[in-house]
Amino acid sequence: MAAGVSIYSIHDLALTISFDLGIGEEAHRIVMLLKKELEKGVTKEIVDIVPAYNSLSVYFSSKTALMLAMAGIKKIATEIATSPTTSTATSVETKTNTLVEIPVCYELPFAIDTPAILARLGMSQEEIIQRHSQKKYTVYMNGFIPGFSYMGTLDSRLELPRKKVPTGSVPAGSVAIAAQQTGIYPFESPGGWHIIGRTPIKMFEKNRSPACLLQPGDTVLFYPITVSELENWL
Amino acid sequence: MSLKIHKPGIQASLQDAGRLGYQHWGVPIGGAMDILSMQAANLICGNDLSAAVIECTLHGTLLEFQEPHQFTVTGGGAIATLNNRPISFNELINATKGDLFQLHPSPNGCRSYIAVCGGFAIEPDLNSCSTYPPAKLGGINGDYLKAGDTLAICTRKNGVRHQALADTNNSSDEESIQSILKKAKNNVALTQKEVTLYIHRGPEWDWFDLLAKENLLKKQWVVGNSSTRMAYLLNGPALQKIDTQELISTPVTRGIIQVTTSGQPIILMADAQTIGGYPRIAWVGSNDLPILAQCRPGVQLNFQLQELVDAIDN
Repeated sequence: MAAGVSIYSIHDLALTISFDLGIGEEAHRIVMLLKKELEKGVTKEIVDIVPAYNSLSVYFSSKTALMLAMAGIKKIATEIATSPTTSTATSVETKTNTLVEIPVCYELPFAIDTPAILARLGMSQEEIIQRHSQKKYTVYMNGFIPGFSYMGTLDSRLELPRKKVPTGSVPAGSVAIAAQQTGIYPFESPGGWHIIGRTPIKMFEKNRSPACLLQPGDTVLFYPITVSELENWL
Repeated sequence: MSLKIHKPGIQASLQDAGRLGYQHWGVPIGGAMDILSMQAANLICGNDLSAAVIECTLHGTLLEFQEPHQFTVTGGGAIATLNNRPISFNELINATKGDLFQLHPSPNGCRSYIAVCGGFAIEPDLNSCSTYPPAKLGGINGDYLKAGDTLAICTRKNGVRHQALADTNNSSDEESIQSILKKAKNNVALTQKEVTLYIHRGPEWDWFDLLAKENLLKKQWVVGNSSTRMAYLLNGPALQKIDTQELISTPVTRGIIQVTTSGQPIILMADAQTIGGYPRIAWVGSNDLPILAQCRPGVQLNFQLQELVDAIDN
């Protein structure tokens, strides 16, 4: 295995390292290995490391720091992408060892889009619940709005393209699916994913530590709860 | 010690240097759109360089000083008055109890920054007072300023003129202070309706056809009406891609020029989301972002390509 690597400026204070791989566990593993290496302290002037599906961006406090760090980061990234051990690296090395179980009420009126997608998926509501909650997901990245975690990989039988016209206002806590991903809207916001349930868990709370519930590399398992459990959640 | 908001104007909000280090949680950097004017306002008031200030967009803001205070207004986009008498930008002004500060329409610029000596007493969220309403961060309860809000002012340092300047023994610090004040004042967008900005090739530059690249560099682009703190929409010819490949969502930040599916360029600004999926044709460097911040809708932009002296892909 040798994934192609490119490193480029996306701005004068930010570099991106991108791997020639699609969305999935292999790209995630390489991105997380690189994140781990960079966190060991390439330079003190790194202000943020942002992992994404098949890329990772490093934000610097100065242009000079970026210039000085570039060659070293490229070397590390290339070593990781071309190392024969990378593809056999066990998930233990890159997973955060955190399993987060998230309760979801998959019932109406919270499963806003479920009635509309039953026929398209050709399955019952029970089957959607069962397929969505039976498997473990990996948190690939956070983005879109604070605390929105992109998780995969969804059961292929639940795959649907995003809505053609996004919903203007998706309620906070909505659990949604689109393509091979699942995610939770932390705040009321516009959204183009299909909403299949609601969680009472706060995905982002500014006064909690950490404010963002899920970190890249975390494992997530959803479990069904009833309407009254949702409404009485403390 | 406080300031009362009678009319907030358009999206008036408290902003500082932004929220660095939380983009991996999806939290935008945010902060003042025109960083230089924010810093200049604080220097004039003798505050910390990155203390929170009020960012006003265009005109409409009406504030009342509830005790005597020294304050300043920097940036542009409006004519400022105190009790209906015009006041100068970039100067320390004395206000007495009951004085009304107001921003009136003016032809140029876009954003003004109000700092008070001592600074505003605001609790930071994630190390910043910058207001980001989608996640209720910063400001007063995470929201833009509203009529009836009262902003508490710190008493420390109050009345100390140019403390940051007076305390400076180091000549290089003095130089950098003067440089900030000068750059903030001389922002071309404060006086002109046509502005040239340097851009750099973006990661997906070569996804676009020759005509698109030519159009980006030779046509005039007009700042769209629905431009916000999150992004500027540019009106001009549609930019066509050569190939149909889709970008896998990847980190983005302010200054990046994305091109939407319909071919419209969008420049990401302070409150930009942290991950994006549109191809990035180019980016505007940090030095030019304060200029862009002072471009109001209708301003014409010309882009000039700047070759990076550093070869990155070697």
